Amino acid sequence: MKFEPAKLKTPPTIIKAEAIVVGGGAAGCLAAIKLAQSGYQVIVVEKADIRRSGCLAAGVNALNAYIGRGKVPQDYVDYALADAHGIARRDLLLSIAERLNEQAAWLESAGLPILKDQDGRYAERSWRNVKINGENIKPLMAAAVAKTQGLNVLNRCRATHLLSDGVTVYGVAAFSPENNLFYHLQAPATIIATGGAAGLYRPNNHGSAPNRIWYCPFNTGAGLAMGIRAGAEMTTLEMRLVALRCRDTLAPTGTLALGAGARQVNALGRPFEGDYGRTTSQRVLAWRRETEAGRGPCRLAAEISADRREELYRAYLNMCPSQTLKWLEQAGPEPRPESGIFAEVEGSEPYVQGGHVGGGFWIDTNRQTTLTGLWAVGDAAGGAPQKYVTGSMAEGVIAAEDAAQYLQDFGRPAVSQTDQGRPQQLFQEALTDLTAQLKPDQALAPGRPRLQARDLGLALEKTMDLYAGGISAGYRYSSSELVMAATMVAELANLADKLSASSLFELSEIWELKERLTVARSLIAHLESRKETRWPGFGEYSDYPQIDPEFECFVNSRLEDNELKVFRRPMTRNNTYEHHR
Amino acid sequence: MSIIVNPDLCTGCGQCVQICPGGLLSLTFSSERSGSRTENLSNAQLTQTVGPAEIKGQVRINNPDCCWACAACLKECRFGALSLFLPPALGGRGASLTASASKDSVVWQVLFPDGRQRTIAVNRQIADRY
Repeated sequence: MKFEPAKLKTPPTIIKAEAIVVGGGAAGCLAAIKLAQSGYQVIVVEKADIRRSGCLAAGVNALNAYIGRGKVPQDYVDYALADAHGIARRDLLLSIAERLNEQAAWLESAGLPILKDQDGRYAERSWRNVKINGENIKPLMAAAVAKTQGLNVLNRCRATHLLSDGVTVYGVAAFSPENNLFYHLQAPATIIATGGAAGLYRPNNHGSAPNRIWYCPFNTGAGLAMGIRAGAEMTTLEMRLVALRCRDTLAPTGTLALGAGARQVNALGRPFEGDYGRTTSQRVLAWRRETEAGRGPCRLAAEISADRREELYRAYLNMCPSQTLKWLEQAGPEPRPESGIFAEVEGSEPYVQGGHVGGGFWIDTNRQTTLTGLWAVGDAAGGAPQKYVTGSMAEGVIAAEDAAQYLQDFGRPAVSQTDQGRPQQLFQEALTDLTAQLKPDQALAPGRPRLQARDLGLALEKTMDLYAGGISAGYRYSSSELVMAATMVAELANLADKLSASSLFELSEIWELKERLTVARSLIAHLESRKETRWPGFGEYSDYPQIDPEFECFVNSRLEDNELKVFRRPMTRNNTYEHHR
Repeated sequence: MSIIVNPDLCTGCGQCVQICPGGLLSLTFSSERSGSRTENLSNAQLTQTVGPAEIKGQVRINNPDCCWACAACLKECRFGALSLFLPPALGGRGASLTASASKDSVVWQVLFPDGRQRTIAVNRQIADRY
């Protein structure tokens, strides 16, 4: 439907709350529930519908962060730190690890089926994870949200700006294409619980299926981009996630490998796991090196009975139905008596996120960002890789507790101690920023091309793919290539600012493009600044192909007067970390 | 392109429009009075614009290329009107997948190009053994 200014409902809707949670995923739902249970008025802003939004829309195959029998939280910290080749925050990992099992118990009480052994304890897939039926995990979380008092959800509403003076956050600007409305959300506390960023690099599948990727393609880095623009400090964006997944469907491989005991073998049938090390990055590297050496295709193969194969079909239907469909297309309609199953593997395009790897907001132990009144959790929060679903939930709870303390200290009602005019002025600036691009189609000379958000998005993906270590560059990048990438991303960002939208739906597309461009700009700067190759499976810096002990530190960044400052921070050794404001 | 709508089964109830995590679906409706007029409206707009009695809608996939294949819409559709398929470049050979979800189970059905079918029922209350 074409936008007509007269149809846009004005003035913008103002909603006052005590806390805003941006993003209704695992971290956001838990943060919102805990804050509301503490007696605060909470509003969740969700760009889809929390019943099936983000990473968990299709389901999930296991709870991959859990402290198994005979293990203690410190074991988790040690494991995650080693897997990240030393670049992770002990304080964040420990506080997550201490709360992982209570999140699993919470999920079970919310209705999530968790497999039990004969003693009634959770059946462990390994010491770090438990087996579940995760198909319905998102609807279960949404149901828990729905029955919590004092908690409201704005579905189909996208947050676009943090209303911040560079020191304090006073709320959020948002809009809903479906309702044709702008929103001014006011609260002293805001928790960013959005996803990370997909859509930065050219994906494995092209043509009619470019969004058949592993990470949720609707995670466009909204929270990260809002934070970057507001001047919040970011960390470890350069630790990109390249996920080793089933070819074509990009389905998870853990269920095959850990659950069904599948082994990775090369084209000669030789297992090669462990030949290149056993960290997540080294496992991706193993596939790359075997393939580069001409020993591909590589596959995960399991000798399982026909009955167990049927169970595997069901397990994949519970999280990535395409993979079951693919197997059945190969096998045909009649169940086959012979044993065995396999899937070829491939690496995904790189993603920026904080749930598997370490990219995101730089936060203190309580998950507060470098801006007052702003917390970040889950995939948006950096420094704590391998948090997954339960770790993201744990972060939501930790942030909620700290935000509750902050609100208590702050005193009610909302926005009490601030100059009332300041948030209003910040919102007007945000609204101007948004509506500047909301104008009817520019008169075009006949035969002239029209720039569109989608095409600029493809240009971004191509640029990153070629010059910032994407799939077709073999995940390699050099200093001169990164200069090229930075130049082109800046150029695309200028073009994106000039796009015009004739509806809030079109404005949405433009806004998502701008989010991806903002994250890409920071990512390039981070890649350039870590002058070493620490996680070769995730990316190799051609000019600096080795690990450099000098870089046993965090690479952080902050936007100041539209200039991106990149700097190092030393490793944290303690169990707590505070910002020095 | 990952999902397809069976126009014979779609009632235009709009449940899939609400659930799609990518916001890729909308309803196309033709008002019975004006007959030929067709517009694309999201569900929210639709309920604001016309009364339910007038709705004779069908779901429309606005950006089929942007589908993630999460199958949320399949499970949400009570009429089995939506199916998931794999494009040939991803290994698709003409089969499609539908889902019929209730509180306790999801019954998945693969329809092969030769008309044969395979049904896999998943109990929602039982954890996977993997």
